[in-house]
Amino acid sequence: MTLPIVAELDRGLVARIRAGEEQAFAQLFARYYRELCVYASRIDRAGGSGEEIVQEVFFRIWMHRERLLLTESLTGYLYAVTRNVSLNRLARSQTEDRWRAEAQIDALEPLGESGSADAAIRETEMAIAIDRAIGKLPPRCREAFLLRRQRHLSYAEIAQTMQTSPKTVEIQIGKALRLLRAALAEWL
Amino acid sequence: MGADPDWTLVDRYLSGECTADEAKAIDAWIATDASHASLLASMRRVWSEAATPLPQIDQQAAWLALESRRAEARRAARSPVALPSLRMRHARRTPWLWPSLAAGLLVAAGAAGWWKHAEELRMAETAPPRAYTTTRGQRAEITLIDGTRVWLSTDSQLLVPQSYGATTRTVTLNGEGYFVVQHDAHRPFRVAAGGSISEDLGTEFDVRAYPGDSAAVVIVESGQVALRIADTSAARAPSTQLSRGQMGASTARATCR
Repeated sequence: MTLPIVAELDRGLVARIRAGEEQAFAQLFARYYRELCVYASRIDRAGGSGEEIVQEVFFRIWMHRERLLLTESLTGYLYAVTRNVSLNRLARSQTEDRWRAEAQIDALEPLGESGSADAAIRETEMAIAIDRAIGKLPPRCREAFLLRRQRHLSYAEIAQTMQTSPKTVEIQIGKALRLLRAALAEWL
Repeated sequence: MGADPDWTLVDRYLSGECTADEAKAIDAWIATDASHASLLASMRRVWSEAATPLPQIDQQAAWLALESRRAEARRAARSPVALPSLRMRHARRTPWLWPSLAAGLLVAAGAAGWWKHAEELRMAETAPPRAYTTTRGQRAEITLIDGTRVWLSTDSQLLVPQSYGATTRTVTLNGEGYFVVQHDAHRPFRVAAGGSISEDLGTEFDVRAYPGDSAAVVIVESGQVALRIADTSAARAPSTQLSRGQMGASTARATCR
């Protein structure tokens, strides 16, 4: 999935972060923060924004940057660390047991097969692509679609909210689906 | 991609509002082409994804929070480690040796500390400044390592040298910022902006100097600010003191209101 040239660039970035280069770290943050938050928010059952978890991920990576080693893909590594930090947090919140807490996994040491990370990456990237495609819908079209999807309103109810006719709402929602399908053609 | 389906029908299908006849129509449409089933599956995917909006994320604020956490860790790592206490039992046996050894240790520790400090200073002076930047519409609150707080306005940049706080505290501002300064007479806090320098004399003040502004404008909220023209030829250009509620502009002659 990862192109060799990307892997090569990642290797360079990782080497610079290991050397303590601030700018490289800022670059890593800029590139991955949002994506990892989306991923973390999906695995956080408490329904948080994932920001706290990802904050922790980047903090640990910086504090232990000398341990940063690129075995497979950088993206896969970051997803695995995010997952580990989330699981640790979950374990901590579920039990006050000191012994359980001390048996926490080493967040920077990804476990498990990389296949699961690949699936998570694809899921997250697709969620972001869908979100972006919804954001690019014409405003009225988007409004009608989200009222339908997120508030479960009928055409008549949406028409009332948007001060238009049910027929127009029907057309707008049909248009939303058609545009989303076209925008996401390469994903779906 | 094949012919477009009846999208209204798809919507009703995904919403679970299909009548029996409509469901039959969908089934018939699926049966006409193999790609139709996968299209419907894709749309179901979009449909379920659209139910939960993505979290709202403030990346700039997150980066600043991470920065301050890292600065905190750096400070913690730098704070001196206490020497292990010397036990009196040994001191009794050789009363003169231990105090002098302890003194020697302290001197050595002091020298090492001083050397480390000097080394850090050298590195800090050559390192590029840290830049805090806001884009149009963005604002940021920054806490510098001395506790000085800066509210950076939209479309602005604050440059903080790595050596900030070592002997001086001079920051460079492009745009607008509001400063609440932790006053320290030995390490004056200065803002260089739009060809002017504002020096804190125990203060809260606002500096505004966007590129294109004819002058840097300083408004003092509390305390006093010394405002002068940045002039490298003179060791110290004459300054105007501004007090609470006063505004100064750094054109050729500083003006007060």
